[in-house]
Amino acid sequence: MGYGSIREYTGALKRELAGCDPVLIVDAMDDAEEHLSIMVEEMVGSGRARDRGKALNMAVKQYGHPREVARIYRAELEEPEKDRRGKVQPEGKKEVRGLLKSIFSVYSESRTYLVLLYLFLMFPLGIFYFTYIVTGISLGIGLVITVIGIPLLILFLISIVGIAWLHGRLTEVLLGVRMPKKRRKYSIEKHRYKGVRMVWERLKSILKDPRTYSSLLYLFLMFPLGIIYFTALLTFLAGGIYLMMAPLNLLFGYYFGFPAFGPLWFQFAAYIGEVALGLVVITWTLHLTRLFGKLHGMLSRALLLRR
Amino acid sequence: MSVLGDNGLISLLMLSAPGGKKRDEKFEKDLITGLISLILLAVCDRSKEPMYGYQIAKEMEDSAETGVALKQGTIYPVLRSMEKKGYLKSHLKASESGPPRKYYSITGKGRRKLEVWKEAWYRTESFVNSMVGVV
Repeated sequence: MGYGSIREYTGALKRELAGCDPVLIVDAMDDAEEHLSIMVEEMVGSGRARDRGKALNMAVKQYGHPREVARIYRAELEEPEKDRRGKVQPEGKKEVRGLLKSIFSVYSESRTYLVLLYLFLMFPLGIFYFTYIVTGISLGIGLVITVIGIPLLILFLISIVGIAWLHGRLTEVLLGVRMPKKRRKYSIEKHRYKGVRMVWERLKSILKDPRTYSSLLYLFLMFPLGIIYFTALLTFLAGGIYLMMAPLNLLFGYYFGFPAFGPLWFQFAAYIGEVALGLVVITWTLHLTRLFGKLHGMLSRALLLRR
Repeated sequence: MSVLGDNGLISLLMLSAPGGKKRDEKFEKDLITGLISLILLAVCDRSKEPMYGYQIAKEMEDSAETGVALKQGTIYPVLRSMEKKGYLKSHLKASESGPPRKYYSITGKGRRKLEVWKEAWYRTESFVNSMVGVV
């Protein structure tokens, strides 16, 4: 079993890790690439191997069969099934307490507020990305007939890769989904080339990489999604707060929630009802926030991670 | 040194070789990754400078007098897992040729863990030796 290139080896490793967390797969491929490229350089440099092909296969022998290496990655870094599902629910009374806890724990978890911040931030960011993409593409395409159109489009695509990476970092911090830590490395064995040739090879790999275009789609989608998240969450949150402020009607006149008229006891009862309803709406909105965050995290991983 | 140069340990690590007849995969995994964790922490603790994976593998190879070392690819997942647990910290540094390298160094938490693990290893080692009859 010979490998023609490091990429072939990392490809085999990726197949062995099929079904794992995509971040784990990317990490494993990065590790192998780092290690094997150093070994190949050293073996060729010291004359222990005649050519790169020989050196690579000697290096692989020491590094380990992809299956063997994959086994350790799975054992060390994959989260066990039972941790993902959470603890087993206790029976009886405790079940009720567990249910209440699962409903109200959104308030005490800092993640809720981070996700909320992220989803609100998506509104201005979405507008920015949209404007940038539309301007970049239309300017580039419009200028294609002149000399600078094509280079402009290429520069634009490179900038998209950078922006998508930055956005990925933000996504990891606020949504808590794992995103690539390093920026993508273009042209795996780029040290083979020097100067202009290297720049050209890197460019080619950016243009050939489907992730460049999926990143573009992702940033573009940010615009409609940002509007949806912003409007939905703001409406529900404001509605809930508005309802909860209903008792203030007793002091300041009928400004909040649904005003209640009639005997004082009836007004009290009505306002207590409204506060309860407001609490339900806000709690529900926070759950919706977490759901949006989860779905958006999945979308981010689908479009920004290397496949 | 005694941890690395130990023949018994090397032969235990050889369990990870592919092929073989009946294998208890779970037992092997725990054994191998446990021992690699101990060795890696010890190597990182001894080194004054942060090291990248290849350097660590090289160091382990040089220390193993028998010349038989474990598969180098298996140390990376263990390094990552120990980083996740806070025993190691890492940073990326660009290299002149090839991809950037990930440099690892031990943390205070890692040093404390190493002491606990070393203790456990010495106890296990002497127990096994006394049972097997090695002096």
